Amino acid sequence: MERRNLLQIKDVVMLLHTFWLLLSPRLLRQLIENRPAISRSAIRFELKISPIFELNMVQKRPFDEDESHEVSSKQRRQMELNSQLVSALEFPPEPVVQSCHTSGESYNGLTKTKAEGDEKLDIGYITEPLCTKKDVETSVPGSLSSSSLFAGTISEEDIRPGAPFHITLSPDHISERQPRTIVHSGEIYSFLLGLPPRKLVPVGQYYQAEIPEWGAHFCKKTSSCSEHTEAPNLVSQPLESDEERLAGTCVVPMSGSNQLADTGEVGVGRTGCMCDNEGNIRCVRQHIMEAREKLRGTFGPETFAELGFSDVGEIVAEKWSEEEEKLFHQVIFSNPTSLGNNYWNHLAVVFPSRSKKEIVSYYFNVFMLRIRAEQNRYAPLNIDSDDDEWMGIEDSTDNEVQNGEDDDSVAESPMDPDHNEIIHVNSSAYDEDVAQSAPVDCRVVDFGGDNINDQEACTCKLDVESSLDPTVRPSDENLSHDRGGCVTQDRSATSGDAGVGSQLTMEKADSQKQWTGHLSGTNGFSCHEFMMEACNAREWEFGYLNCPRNEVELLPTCNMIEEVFGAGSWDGQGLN
Amino acid sequence: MDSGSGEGASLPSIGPDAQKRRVCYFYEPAVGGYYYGQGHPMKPHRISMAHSLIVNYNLYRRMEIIRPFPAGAADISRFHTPEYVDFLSSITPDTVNDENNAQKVKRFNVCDDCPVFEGLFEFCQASAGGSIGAAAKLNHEDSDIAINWAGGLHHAKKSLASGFCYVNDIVLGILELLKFQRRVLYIDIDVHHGDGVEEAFYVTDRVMTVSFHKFGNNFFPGTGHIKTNGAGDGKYYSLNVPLRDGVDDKSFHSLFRPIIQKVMEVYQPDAVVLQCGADSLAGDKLGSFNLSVKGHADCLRFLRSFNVPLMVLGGGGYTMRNVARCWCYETAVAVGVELDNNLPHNEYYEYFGPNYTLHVKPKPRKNLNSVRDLEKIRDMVFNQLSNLQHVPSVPFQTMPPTARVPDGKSFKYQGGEDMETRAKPRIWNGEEYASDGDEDAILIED
Repeated sequence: MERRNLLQIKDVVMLLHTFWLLLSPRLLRQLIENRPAISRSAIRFELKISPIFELNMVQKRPFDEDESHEVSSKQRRQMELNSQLVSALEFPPEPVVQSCHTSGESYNGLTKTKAEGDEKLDIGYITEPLCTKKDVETSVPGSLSSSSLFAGTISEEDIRPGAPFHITLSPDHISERQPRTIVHSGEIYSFLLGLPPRKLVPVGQYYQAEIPEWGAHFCKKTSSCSEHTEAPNLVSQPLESDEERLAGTCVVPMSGSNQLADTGEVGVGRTGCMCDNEGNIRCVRQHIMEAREKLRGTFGPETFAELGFSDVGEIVAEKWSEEEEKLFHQVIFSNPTSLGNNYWNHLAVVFPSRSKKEIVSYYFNVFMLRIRAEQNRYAPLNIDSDDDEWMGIEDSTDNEVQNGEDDDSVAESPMDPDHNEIIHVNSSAYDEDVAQSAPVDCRVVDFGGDNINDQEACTCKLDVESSLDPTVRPSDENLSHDRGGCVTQDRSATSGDAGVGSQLTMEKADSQKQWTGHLSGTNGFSCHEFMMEACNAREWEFGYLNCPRNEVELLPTCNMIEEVFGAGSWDGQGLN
Repeated sequence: MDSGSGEGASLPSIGPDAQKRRVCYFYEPAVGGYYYGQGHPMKPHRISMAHSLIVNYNLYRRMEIIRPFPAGAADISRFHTPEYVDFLSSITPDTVNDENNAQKVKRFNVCDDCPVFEGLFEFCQASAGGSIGAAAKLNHEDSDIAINWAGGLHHAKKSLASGFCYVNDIVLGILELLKFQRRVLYIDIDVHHGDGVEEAFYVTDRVMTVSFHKFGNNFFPGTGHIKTNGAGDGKYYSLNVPLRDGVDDKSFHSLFRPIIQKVMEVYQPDAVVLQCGADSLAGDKLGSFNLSVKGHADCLRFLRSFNVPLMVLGGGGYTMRNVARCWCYETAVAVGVELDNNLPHNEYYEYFGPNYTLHVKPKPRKNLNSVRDLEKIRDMVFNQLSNLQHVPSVPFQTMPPTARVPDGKSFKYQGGEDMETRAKPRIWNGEEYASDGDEDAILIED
């Protein structure tokens, strides 16, 4: 039924579009005015609003491409066809109404006219009489008077993809229930031009905040307060107990203003050092440690901890054994996100005694920092020098384009057809598989000290079934069938190919759009990762997999630390 | 990388900018440990990175560091509905998939962009506690500027999570301010429209919301059209400045300064809340503006000069290293110190390689906002502002078409100088706002 109705509306729109192209705006207006009956009859339909739970249709990060295209195009069409339809949210219980917030300014840029009359809340079930009255007064004479197509404005927020979209809108029905509405001529133009109508702001008790009374606190404090005219001097008043609670706990008080000796040091960055190899990993680590000790001395251990510094940086590794650290790295490297793996699930399984917080802490304070330390020195041109999750390959985004390479260049990584298969991993064989599977990227530093730079062909492991974590629901759009094949992770990175994930990246790029780092409803991506949550998994990091730069020579950094500092120099706890 | 010298490098030694401000800074040490999920662009860890820079630049010597109280369900319910708060406080990653939760998960939109992660509610408590605490400090006049980088989550709605935000700490902070301040000005420079805050205060004139954001092409959240300007008593007290991709320092400030100048003159807020979403910086993973750290911080610098109690909050920002740089630099601006461009050694030093510098250079990209577009926007906004009932003694004058662009030299702000010594404004006829109370919250019934 919807489809039939849509087609009818579409026909009308096409008709109107044609008229608009042929006729002057003025003539068009007259045409529509003179033939309201035609438009109404042409679009006689009956729709009803379906329950809307998801108010935010436009996500901050789009869903997969098809869906978002479908949604956005669907929304656009809906709005083109029914630019101002009734929208009633069935949740919450009270019917939520939307206010029409058109100002007097017309679409075509006529001078703004002030709002007439009392601009009380322009609320109506469809649209506000006051608002429309204003439009009539200020608009070019002959604005459309319609009770059907232009009865209200639907918000993008109210449309759920795939949900039946029904709006009760028969003209007679409208006239009974709703006040007549008038559309400003500018609205017509925007409608005809296919521009989406302005999203409205919902108004009602479920949307706005309750504004507290000003001065209530004053009257509590002072015995003779004249209401709302004088702000009593609060400075001398001690904080009430609740205000004390709200103000939090002072950790570092304001230091005295007479500490002139300190003035020169505030805002000072690093200066040169006397280290032999200034700027190398050892030098930096040394200075970081000195900075840490300086702060600890300044604040004392208690305040130092309360500022959070006892749990940041390399010292977090002190709470992890060497074995644990090795295992951590192996888990991550074996489950690169470039292949759609969620290593957090694996980490939770491998470290049952570790809380999520501890694992996250190790990840950001130790693991990623070490990766970054390597990248900063040995692959500075190819860093997405950020926080990002370990992808298996770090591809540059626009942030760090420093070599001027074409973003679209993609390396063809040599593939061993024998390994071009999907391997299912189950938890029982996990440890063994992890140990044997080679890290995804040869640039990965082996912090465990073991030489894992073996020549085994890497195989990608796709968790087709979430056997490891029963709470994880695999997405319907599973990696396995979309990818069609797996990438051989060639360990011999000296071959010069851009890296491991390149082939896979390209495959992905073929089928779906890449994440460009821009929010856009039209740029979609499909998610193939498993998440802990029930909702459809979204591959946020997908967009980070821009085409790698094949020209960049990725140095094999396996055992890099040992190469630089000598065998056995890395004991997992720090440089010896 | 930008060497750091050049425009805006040093704060003027005279004028309102040079005035010291009492600054307090809220930080919950656990906040960086919350994790939205693999690949999710919002990473609370960035707050810890900023903190590490801030402390290692010795900025603690110029401000008070406060650990925020964890906002309770009752505090949070001052804005959000009890059902929603109850849900947030009880849902966990283990229970989110339960069938009996499925309806609520969708109803409250705690999925997709807003996943349920471990410690979700504690994270919200820390964020909200910081903003409410900041308001309390300002109300009590203990501080001139109060900073909460864990706050600024401007998309959360009364009964709905949205855009990575669950609890709208900004609304809660403003509500606390409104107990003591008659008028609060909210300014949002996140690349996304500040829809949650706008909606919460849409029908009141005690809060004026001004948002500068990208608009168009289905960009989240989709609201923030230039014509969206409030309703009821709040009509004309919502301002929206929609922009297109690639806006740079110069074009941004060609709008920001004159508009905010006029807003300050006409609205004369008792307090200002500035949401410093760092996704408007160049190189952000989700944003598409092209501001430098200095350009971004200039907004704060400008507001600071008015010497009005100022709450500074975080917000978006998805390229962590740049977020940390930006908020560290802005902390220094609040305090009144210029930072060296070479970062000090700190625990997160390696995240800032390979150059380990503070400032972010804009990218060579096209600015889709033409001069003409900007002029038109400015004119339209000024037209909207003319509807505000300004203070009678301050006649409304349209700003000249070409506003001055900050060039690092001493910048006399008309509003700033006038406001320099004022305690609370008395020239505004307070009667209009005397009996605001609940009249602003208009209940709609069909």
